[in-house]
Amino acid sequence: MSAQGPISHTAGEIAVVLRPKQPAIIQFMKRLMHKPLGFISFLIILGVVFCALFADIVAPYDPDLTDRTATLVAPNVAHPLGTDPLGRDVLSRIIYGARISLFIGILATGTNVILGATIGMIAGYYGGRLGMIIMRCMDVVMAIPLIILAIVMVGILGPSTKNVILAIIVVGTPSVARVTEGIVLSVSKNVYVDGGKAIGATDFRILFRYILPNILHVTMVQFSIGMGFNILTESSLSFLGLGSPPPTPTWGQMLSGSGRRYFALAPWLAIWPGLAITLVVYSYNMLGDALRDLLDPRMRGS
Amino acid sequence: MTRFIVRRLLMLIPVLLGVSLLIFTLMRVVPTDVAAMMLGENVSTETLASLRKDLGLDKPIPLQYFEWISNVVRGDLGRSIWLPDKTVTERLLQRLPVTFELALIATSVGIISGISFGVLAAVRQDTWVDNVARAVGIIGLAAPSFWIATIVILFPAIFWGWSIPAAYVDLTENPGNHLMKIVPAALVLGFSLTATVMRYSRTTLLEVLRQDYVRTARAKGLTERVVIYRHALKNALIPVVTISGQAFARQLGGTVIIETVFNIPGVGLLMIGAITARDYNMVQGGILILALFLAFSNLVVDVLYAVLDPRIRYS
Repeated sequence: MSAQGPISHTAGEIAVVLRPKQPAIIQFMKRLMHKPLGFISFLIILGVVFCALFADIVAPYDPDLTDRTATLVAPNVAHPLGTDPLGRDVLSRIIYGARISLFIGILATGTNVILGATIGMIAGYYGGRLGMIIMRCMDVVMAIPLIILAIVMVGILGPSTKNVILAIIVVGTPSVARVTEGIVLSVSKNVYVDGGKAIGATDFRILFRYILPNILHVTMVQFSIGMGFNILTESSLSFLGLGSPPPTPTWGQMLSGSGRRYFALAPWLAIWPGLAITLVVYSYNMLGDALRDLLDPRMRGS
Repeated sequence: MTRFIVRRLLMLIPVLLGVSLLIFTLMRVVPTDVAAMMLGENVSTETLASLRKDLGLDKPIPLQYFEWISNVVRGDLGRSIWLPDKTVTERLLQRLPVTFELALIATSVGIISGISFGVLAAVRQDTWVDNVARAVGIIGLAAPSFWIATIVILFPAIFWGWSIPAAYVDLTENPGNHLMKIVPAALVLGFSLTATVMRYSRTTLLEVLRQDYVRTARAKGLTERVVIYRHALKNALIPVVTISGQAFARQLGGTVIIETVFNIPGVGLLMIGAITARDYNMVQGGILILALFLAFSNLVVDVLYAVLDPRIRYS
């Protein structure tokens, strides 16, 4: 051990020497590798993110390029996933579709988690009348079946990427807030929170330095599971004609509308977009599962 | 217990009022002239004005809300703007049975298969059985229901030339055709529930199996079978009740999509049409009723929870 660094005299430095320091991310990846499904899911997500970022390079064709001479072509070398009734390359449209799914997913889920966790922390920590009013407001939103509320919102506001994001934020935030509130209620009872108060820490400091680190594992799991759920919601709205309007290629929309007439002739049109949604949502769920096991302090080592 | 139920019912009132306010506001966020939508372009302003007056849309919006909600609390959800010969309540009552039938079949199938797979996965934790069950189960969570529905409709038609009847018929009219349409739709709807229940029962069973009383049971020399089915499972399934209640509520929402794909005239299809047509009373009434059902199913679940688990007592 001493070969790795000079022997020091303070306890802190000795601890460093005893345990060779690795970046947190590498430590985490090593642990993730013990969860094969979680690890594979992580790789799939990385791959999809890569495709979305570099769609221009990865996609073999322009997703909107119509080709009257090659309509409804079955999967072949030139078009690995076939073409649609307008002769557009299905693979390219799916790759570009990843862009809109991930964009909406990350923006909406990120907002859900940050907003929901903040609301939940405030309601759980302060409690009392303020907490009750906040949570009853969340109850009101959660009293309506989620997908129906989202449909009403986008149906009224009009189908657009912006309105889909807005609907998902409104629909998804209360559940994050509710879960966070529950955990904060129990975390606040810990002795170290009383300790913080005793040495005069401000509420802000207690919330962000004492409580937040202890609920972060739940929040991260909620982000991963939420990503999957929200991508599903986005595709459902798209499927109902309430997503990002054409010509933007979205996975849900590829399975809906007038294109459905051609499914019996060209079944590949019905398969790939659904498979893409399933794969991505599946990966986020599995990653969420793995995160839950890895990050929950009680589950460590089991 | 009675006090708990009464208190919960009372708490429903502010929540439902909140829902009514939320949905009423939402419907009017984007100013739309429904009268103009109904009459088309070539009409005089007088005709438009008189229709608006008939529909009560000329009044200030807060007053509109007040009039609507005071009728609602008296049990009158109003009339559809487009089809004024029937009340909203009548139209909902006509559509609700189909939606319930769908949700009920889906929920029962989902719970039964979910618990079975969950137990199997937990008993064989970390073996290939566990991994396969978890992986397959999660497909149910990940695959969008409209996609599975599309496949279920499409592939029998391609391979066997058999397709689900296009038109919907009532159970009383032609039970065979009715079920041929409803059952596939319900199975697709229930598939996601299978995954949820499976994951949940697997986790809770694993947690219970770690407890002391299970160790005691094993130490007594009971067979693994008895330990799992007689001792552990009962306790493990209590939380599954909660998740099943929530899932049933979610099925009510999921039916919107399934009804659209399978073309089944339930509440979901009714709502989608009403939203597009800005049929204010219809949408508002429908959402309120759905919210009411959701709240009741949550209440039933909480009560069941206390009945099943002697450790839980509401006061």
